[in-house]
Amino acid sequence: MKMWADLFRAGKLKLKQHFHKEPATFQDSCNFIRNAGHFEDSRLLLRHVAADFREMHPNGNHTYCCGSGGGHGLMSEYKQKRLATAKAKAEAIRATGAEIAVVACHNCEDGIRDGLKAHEVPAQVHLFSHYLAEAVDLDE
Amino acid sequence: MDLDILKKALASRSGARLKLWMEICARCGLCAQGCHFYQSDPRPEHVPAYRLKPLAELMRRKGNVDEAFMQELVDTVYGTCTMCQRCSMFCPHGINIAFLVRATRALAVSQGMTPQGLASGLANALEFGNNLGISEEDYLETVEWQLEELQGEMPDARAPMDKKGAEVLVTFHPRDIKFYPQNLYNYLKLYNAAGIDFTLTSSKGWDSTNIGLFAGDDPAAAELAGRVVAAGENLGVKTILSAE
Amino acid sequence: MTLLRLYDFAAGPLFAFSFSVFLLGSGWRVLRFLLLARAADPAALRGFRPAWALKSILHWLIPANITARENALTTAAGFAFHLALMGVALCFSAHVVLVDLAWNVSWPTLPDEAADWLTYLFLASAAFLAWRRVKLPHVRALTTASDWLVLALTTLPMLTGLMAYRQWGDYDLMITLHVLSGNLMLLAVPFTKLSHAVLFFVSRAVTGSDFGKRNVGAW
Repeated sequence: MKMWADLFRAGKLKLKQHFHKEPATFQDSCNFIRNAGHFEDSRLLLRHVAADFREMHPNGNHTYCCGSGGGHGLMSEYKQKRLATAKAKAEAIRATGAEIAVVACHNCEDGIRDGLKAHEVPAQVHLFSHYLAEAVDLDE
Repeated sequence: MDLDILKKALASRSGARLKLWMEICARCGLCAQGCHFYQSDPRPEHVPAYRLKPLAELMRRKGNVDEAFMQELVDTVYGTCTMCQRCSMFCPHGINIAFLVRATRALAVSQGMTPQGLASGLANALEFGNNLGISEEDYLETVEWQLEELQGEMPDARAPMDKKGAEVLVTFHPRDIKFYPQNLYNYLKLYNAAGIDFTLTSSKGWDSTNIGLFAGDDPAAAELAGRVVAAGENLGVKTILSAE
Repeated sequence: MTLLRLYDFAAGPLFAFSFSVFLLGSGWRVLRFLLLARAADPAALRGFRPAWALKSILHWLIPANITARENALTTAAGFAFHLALMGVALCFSAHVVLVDLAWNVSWPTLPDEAADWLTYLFLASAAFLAWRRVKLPHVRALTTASDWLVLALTTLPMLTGLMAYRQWGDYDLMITLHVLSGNLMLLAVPFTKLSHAVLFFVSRAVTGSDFGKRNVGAW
């Protein structure tokens, strides 16, 4: 993520401004944000490619876990608990009214998708790379 | 149950941080606010500090515990924590509960009590080089296939394999290869669009996920991380790009 | 008469002993952490980030953190508890006079009335913290006997001190109990979780540095 932000800042990676029109929010993953401090980098890119970017609360270093970290994505024995406790995150996403929840981590992708489904929040989950790749400006 | 191994594991884990944090936790419960388990389902056993109980009790009994105790320990430290570290943001003492949970998981690992889902993922990772058990052929074919797809949109797109002296080594999450090859397409598109001097690796180091860390299995974690680093060193890259 | 002799002993040689144990024991706790950390990984101390450690400590010494915002009442009680305890212990006029008589060093004192109010504030916040332990299910589930012990160890000197000062009950008895419980509290610091008096700074520094390595502030 830092690399993409650096390349974008240096003008090497060209992205179409406000390419994505749907209201979108972003899952600050524990790996990228709380454990790596890439908050500013992520916002630089997201605010560029998304026309309607909405923060969920809490966000940044205080973001709720997607629920799928720490091996929970693989431990089917604790799945019911994982779904039930995805409520905090699902409600935070619902409150933004976003149609797309962008995630930058594969664990989050599963965690958020399952959580949204279990708590009936109507939002799509897209990977950050997908979200950026769609907005790449190939014309220049 | 092998109590000798358990006691050794406990001793090897009882470092400066563990002792410090186990001794000063004030059990004030302020970490409850920090946990999505508790915020979603406010039960006492969902308070982060509650996850230190099995370890505290095990330390008090100097490792003399039975299998039922260990099973409960497993359900607590694997079942009720994602080690996201949010609670550390709320703890006045700054206790890193995830660190202590990982140490406790290591005790379960020492008894071969890793939960089934994690255990099989880890076994796959050690044997095949990735946690989904993808063969090298499948991996290489998938890369090839997605590169061809991408060339339809970007005729100049490349995906160098094992290119010595490239700036960046790109690694993946195995699920990209097995279930979501479209992701690979997107990564390659971004790298190519940005004009980076990158390479992939055909060695087992292409999977940069580390289930050993989740499981609290240190030797396995070191083995998995070592493969990625070795791949990077062999190719002489400056940066290794991890998948997650 | 024996009570007064006990008082003299407790305020004299016993206090000198307790205070030494408190100082040396607390110092040992910090040193032990450093030794253990170095034994495990000699490089660990070199990676230390002092700026982040300091920031981490300051964000919690002044309540500028997420818990202070989301749990303002408990934070207020916690601050009142600690500040009143230290304020009265260090700056109550009678305490300063005793130190002055014994070692000939002195510092500004609190007006007696202020010390009085601080003590009430302390007792109120101690009561609140005790109430949390009893009434909030998630705190009750965590609470152990030692949590009650250390709460009692800190509350007793304050309570008996107030009773002696106000001459509630038998003064000689109260003042003797006060000095004895004060000794007990000091003695307990290195051996109980009261060690957070010094280890708070160590722990916050470690976590501040750990999170700081990733440019994230733990607050």
